[in-house]
Amino acid sequence: MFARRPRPHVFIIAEDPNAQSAASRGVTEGALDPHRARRLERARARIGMCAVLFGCVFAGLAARLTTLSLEAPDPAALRVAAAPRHAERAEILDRNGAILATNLPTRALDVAGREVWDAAETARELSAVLPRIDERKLAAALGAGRYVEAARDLTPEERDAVFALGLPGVHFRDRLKRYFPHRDVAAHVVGHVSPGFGGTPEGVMGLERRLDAEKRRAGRPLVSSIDLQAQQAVEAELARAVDKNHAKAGWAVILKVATGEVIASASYPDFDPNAPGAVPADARRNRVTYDTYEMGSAFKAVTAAAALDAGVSDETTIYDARKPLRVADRQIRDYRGKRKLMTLGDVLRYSSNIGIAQVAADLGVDRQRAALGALGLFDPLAIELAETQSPRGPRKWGPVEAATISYGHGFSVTPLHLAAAFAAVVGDGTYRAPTYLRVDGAVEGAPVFSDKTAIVMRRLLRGVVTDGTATKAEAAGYFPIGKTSTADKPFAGGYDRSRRLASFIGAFPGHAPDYVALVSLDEPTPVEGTFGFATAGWNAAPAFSRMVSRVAPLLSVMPVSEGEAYAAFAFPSLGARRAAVETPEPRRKPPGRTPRASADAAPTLQ
Amino acid sequence: MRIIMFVLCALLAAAAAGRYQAEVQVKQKRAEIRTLQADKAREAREIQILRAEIAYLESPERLERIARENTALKPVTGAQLMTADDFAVALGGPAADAPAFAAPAPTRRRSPGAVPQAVAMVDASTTP
Repeated sequence: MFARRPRPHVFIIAEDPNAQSAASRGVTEGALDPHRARRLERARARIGMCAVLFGCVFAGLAARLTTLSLEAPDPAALRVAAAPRHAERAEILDRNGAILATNLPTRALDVAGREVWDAAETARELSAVLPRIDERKLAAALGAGRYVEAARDLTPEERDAVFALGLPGVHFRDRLKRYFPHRDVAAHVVGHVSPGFGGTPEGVMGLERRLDAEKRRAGRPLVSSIDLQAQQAVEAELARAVDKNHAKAGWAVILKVATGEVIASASYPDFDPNAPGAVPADARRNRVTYDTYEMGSAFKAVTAAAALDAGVSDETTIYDARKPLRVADRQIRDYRGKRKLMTLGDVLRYSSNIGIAQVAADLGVDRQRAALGALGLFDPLAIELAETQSPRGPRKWGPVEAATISYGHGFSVTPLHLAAAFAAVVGDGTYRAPTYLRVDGAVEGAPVFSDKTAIVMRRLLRGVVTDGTATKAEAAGYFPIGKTSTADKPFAGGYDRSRRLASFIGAFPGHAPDYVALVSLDEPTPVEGTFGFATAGWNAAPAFSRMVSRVAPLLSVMPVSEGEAYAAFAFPSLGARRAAVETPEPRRKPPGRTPRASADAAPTLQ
Repeated sequence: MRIIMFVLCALLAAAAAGRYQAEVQVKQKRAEIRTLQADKAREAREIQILRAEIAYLESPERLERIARENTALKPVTGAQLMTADDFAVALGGPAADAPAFAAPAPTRRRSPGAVPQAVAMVDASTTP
């Protein structure tokens, strides 16, 4: 288009006004001097080059314009621009997807002191619409020219009312509010937040704190192991038990045996995470994971399992509990002792300190320590909550300590420690570390006891419920097993017999435990219907029973018939039974401790 | 040369007009995007509020309180559950096959739920 074309010089000169003058002067094309002709030629070339240049520029601009007009916007940029601010903090869900903690978009009311016309009038009108605003303080702050956050979490109606005032210097600011729809349910697990720097919530405790540690954001909710319905039922029953028995506090936990997942975890008194400051700090303490206690006789189950597994005891071994046992300088007694010879089942059934101390002596310090260590009772739990605590044991572990620890004295653990250890005792003998996050799939765990030990322990612990100290722990259709524990609380220099910790740790269904449950009441008192007793069999055991009866259906645990349960207690599987028939195991003689002898009776299954 | 200049001027005018038109369209589209984004954000806020409200309304604690205040319903217990097989039996159907090693009916009175001694005796009797 811009190619130079040859043209007759005459024509060009005729077109050129200068040419007219040249013609008038009688000068023709052919008469131009060569120097002038070269200059003309050069000028033409320059004009052509400029035209080409301008053309290129216009073409470039047009092309760019076209591409800009036709170019699709970057979806990612749009997404970022449209992303709502309130979605920044990840939600916390229960194991079934129910919301435990979420974000609510709200608006805060800010007032710029330098923009208001009349500080006193502004404060007066705002406090008239929002009574929670302190008129005097606001007026003083605005009078000083400060920028004030006058109110948070305005409702749409409040915002409209403030807007209608038409006051200058009033600004509405979008704000995040962490919201816990179930209030005090699972409060100690979910935790709570503080406003944080710049109004961005920061987790203070529980899974909220875990969120910050993981820097988890929207779109990746934290799925806890908690079952909301089971949690609510556990909390309701725990509160009922604490109130009924006038206890100082209480806690309960339900653990899934196969995975170590914490299905429910409750501490009472509790708090509303939406207003954590409304209660004393004591109510915000997660007693299940953060407090250590001497859990008492529940440890007898651990000691018995270790002894069974080590082969130093079996269901027929007899222990002398007719009189107090002297270990070094310590006299070990039973609470309301039966004063008789006992099998291992009787020792658990009647919660004999004397009997279990003999079991521990047979077991030996090393094997006792090894068993407790394998059950995770020496280390803080590796859970997802920051509220963890190390167990506290004796500095020196001699025969006296072995005896007292066998029945849970002189060794402090968190309730969750005990629940996890108990799950290994009655499950399949495998220890699985507890977790507060949902687990999809199987958890292998660390084998501690043999499967056979766990089977025998279930039988022995069933006897505690049917004929022992925990008859009130029965739950129809679930044949629970377990152990009561009433521990005097330690104080400097000894134990206070007037302050007790009453607990029941058990499992359901007893013949094939799916879940372990622990209920504890801190300093319960005798009440009507307990005949002056405040021991675990009268308060914690009934609470356990009610808990299991309510929670088991929620967890889809179907009740079974007595025949089915008995068969499972006696013969956990047909294969196991066949093996027992084909290769009967010779009855062991336990290491001699007079007057110990094998009982002639069949294995105790009561 | 004049034609070229005319052409260039025409192109310039067309480009200017096209650019103006494109700019207007871009502004309109941007306004639409802003509106859509605002709508989307508002919808997201409302959805979030509704989700939170649903979570509160479905809170087991709240439902239990309402049920207690307004009905005579109580929490379900295990005693109220039965399997489909049990249900069929309850309606008069045939019982499911009993396991081969089912324990015989207890012959003596015992505590509810206690593992009967009879089971142990059966076990012992099958041991050579």
